[in-house]
Amino acid sequence: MAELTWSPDGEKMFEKLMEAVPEAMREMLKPKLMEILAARAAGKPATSDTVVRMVREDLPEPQKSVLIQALSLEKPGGKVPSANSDSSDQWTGKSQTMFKIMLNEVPEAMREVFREKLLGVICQKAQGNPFSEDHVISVVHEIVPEPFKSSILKKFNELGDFDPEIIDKTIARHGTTQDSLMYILHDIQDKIGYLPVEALSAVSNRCDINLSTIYNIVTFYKSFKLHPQGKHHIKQCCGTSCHLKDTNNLSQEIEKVVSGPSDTTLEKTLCLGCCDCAPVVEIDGRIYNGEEAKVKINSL
Amino acid sequence: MKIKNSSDLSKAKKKGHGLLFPDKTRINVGTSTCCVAKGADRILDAIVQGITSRNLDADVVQVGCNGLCHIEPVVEVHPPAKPKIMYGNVTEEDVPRILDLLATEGILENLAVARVEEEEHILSGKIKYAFYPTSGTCSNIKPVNEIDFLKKQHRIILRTAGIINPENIFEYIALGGYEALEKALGMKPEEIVHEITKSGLRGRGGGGFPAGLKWKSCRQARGNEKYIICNVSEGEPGIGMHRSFLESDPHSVLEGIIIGAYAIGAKAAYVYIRDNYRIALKRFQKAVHDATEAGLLGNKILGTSFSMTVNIKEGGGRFVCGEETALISCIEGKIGEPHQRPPFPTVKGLFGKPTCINNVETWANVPVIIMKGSSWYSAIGSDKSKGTKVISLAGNIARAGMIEVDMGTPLKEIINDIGGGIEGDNKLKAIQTGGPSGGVLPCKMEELTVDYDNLKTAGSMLGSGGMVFMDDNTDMVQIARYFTDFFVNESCGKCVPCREGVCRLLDILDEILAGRGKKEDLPLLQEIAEPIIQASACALGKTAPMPVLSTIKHFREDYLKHMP
Repeated sequence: MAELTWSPDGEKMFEKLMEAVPEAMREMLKPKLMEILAARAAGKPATSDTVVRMVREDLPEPQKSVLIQALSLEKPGGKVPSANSDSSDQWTGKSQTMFKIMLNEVPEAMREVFREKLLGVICQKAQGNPFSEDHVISVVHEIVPEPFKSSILKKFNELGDFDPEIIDKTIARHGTTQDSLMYILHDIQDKIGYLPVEALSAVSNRCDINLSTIYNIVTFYKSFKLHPQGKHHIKQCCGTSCHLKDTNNLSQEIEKVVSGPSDTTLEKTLCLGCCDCAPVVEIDGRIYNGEEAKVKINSL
Repeated sequence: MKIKNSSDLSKAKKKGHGLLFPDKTRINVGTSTCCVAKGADRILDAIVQGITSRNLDADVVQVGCNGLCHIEPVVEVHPPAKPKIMYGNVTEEDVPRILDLLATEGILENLAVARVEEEEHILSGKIKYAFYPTSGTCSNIKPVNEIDFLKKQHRIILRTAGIINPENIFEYIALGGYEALEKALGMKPEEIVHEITKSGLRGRGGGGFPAGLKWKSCRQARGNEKYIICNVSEGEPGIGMHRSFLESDPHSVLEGIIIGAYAIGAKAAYVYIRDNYRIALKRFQKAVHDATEAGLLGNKILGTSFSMTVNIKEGGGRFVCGEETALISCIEGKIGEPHQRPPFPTVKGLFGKPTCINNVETWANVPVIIMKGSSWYSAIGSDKSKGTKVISLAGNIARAGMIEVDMGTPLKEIINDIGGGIEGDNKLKAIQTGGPSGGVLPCKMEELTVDYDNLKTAGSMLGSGGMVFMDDNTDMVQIARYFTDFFVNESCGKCVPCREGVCRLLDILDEILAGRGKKEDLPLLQEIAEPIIQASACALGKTAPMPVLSTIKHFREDYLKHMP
């Protein structure tokens, strides 16, 4: 077997390559690669060019892409992120937002340096695939020290399918004391349509109120919804008059529609206070009475 | 426009007068929730469009509900210096006909319900606006105070409902609004409390506790920080009039609250409005905003050293939050579970500070008492219940709606003269008063006069004033089951007798309704009811068995019919 000798640039390049390999694998991989390089160099000193060619031609995917990225041999359009490439195609789900949250924990002056480094680590994890939420989470688990780790993970729990600004703005308007809690929850529900658990986590963190306390409140009061609601929302009045005067079987009509294919949520509410025109239902925010209600329900 | 003294107030009054009685035709459309449920929003659109397309010069104003819910949608047409014509049951097809006649000042006679030539307002006196002798067509239409529904009413709280634009503070001021506040701020707080005590005003929330005593106790309680709460939780089914207040005349409630805060020494008030009352919430928010803009709320009210704020709190849809200690918990952002009393809220209430809680109707009474004096007020009503009571009529009654009568009015008069009797050819079987916590009274009790004590003696309660009438097709066991089911759903779960006992009542009622009832079930129901009444902490629990007990007492034969 040919002895491996180095040209200076070749050795440097190889070191750089090794840095990109996760530490645990480094010792195992190193002799293998050196063997390949020796064969390629065929008695001559191995140059940087030899290293690059080896990576390109001899290595299988996905290692190839990872190492190519590490050597910065191919710039994006491919899948190498750089400081100013936040193009969304390499991020899936909320991974990019999560990455930003992670970066925000770093003091601002150092943020750019860390950004490059962290992107590098994620690159390795992703191995040429788009970055997923799991990648970012595992990075946080592996390299971020406490107390930053906990606070970052807490913030990840707040990420839902809604604009996080909704929470910020609502809390800014109402304050963080417990007596503002009902206002906050009502407002968030008005904007998002229900109260996703992520939103509740966010409120819990910002207001420093236990999530269990918030859950207690949300499940006690009937106007809060923990699940997404249908496209149409029927509120059926359960007041005395409506009960007494439901002679035209409005409730049966409602049951029929709700169990049918239309995307409708039914809620039975306390008296809607329109006892004089009983029976009434509220459909998508407007109250209808008797026959008109029937027509409207069937049109959903 | 900031109002800092009485001359500013009279300027505002003038401005409001100009809005109420403009130089052109004013068209009022009732757009409270109950009106909208019957299509008032479409009528409003049709009128606005019709006026534009006809190039008519008229103001279209959204007003609250005047209580004549049985003829909604209501439209009033008021040409300048002519009688105002009230149309009822207006449909979209009627709108073009009304508007076509407007140009010639004609009246659509078959649709007209009443004509109004003058308005007698409790605070601002008589306003006469038909300046010519009634002629021809108009005389066929009844004057408004002669129509059956209104003839026997005495409108103090509802004085401006359906007349003014609830979203315009100047229209409220035009009819004497905020004059009571001006007068009150010139009085000593103790004098105000004394006036309220002397007037005999009792809390309109249900229990009928004397308002003056409550105020006094709160005023004398130690501490500089005190709170006022206005209870608009209205969880009981079959009412809806608190919603109507706020939708029709939010400023009278607000004015009462400000006077109360001054008298008690509070700097902040909370108004708790239950969820689902969207229009009420919006209109009250507007009222608070406008009053603050006008300098009638906030810093240095009316140029005096008195300042206060009003916070609006939206509830979360639980009946139990109407109970005062539960309501306080709710405002504090906790779950609405009632607490043991004493300490009473007047000593230790919201945020642990002395708090005066009154219901929305009680607050609305305050400006009138201040303006007209306690002796005027205490002359109205019965021996122990002074003033008037707003009552909502619902169920199988011919003329449903919201009425206001003197305390002590016979039930019979309310049913037959105002309510027009039972709808259709049916007969009255039962009257349910005071919401689910009240009781069901049999028809033979219609001789009763309505006040706190009489209804209590009869085994029911006045509550916040809801009356649901049931005709002879009604199965009272079904009704008892309905209310019991309501309590099962609404029990907060804190006290075991209420949480578990009411469920057992429901089980037995279900068995009876399924035809599997036994004779012993009736004493068993009564036996279970006893500890629920004895051992529950709050009024919700204590009154939960009322529907079962009162139906067994008065309608035993309905139960027996279900038994094999």
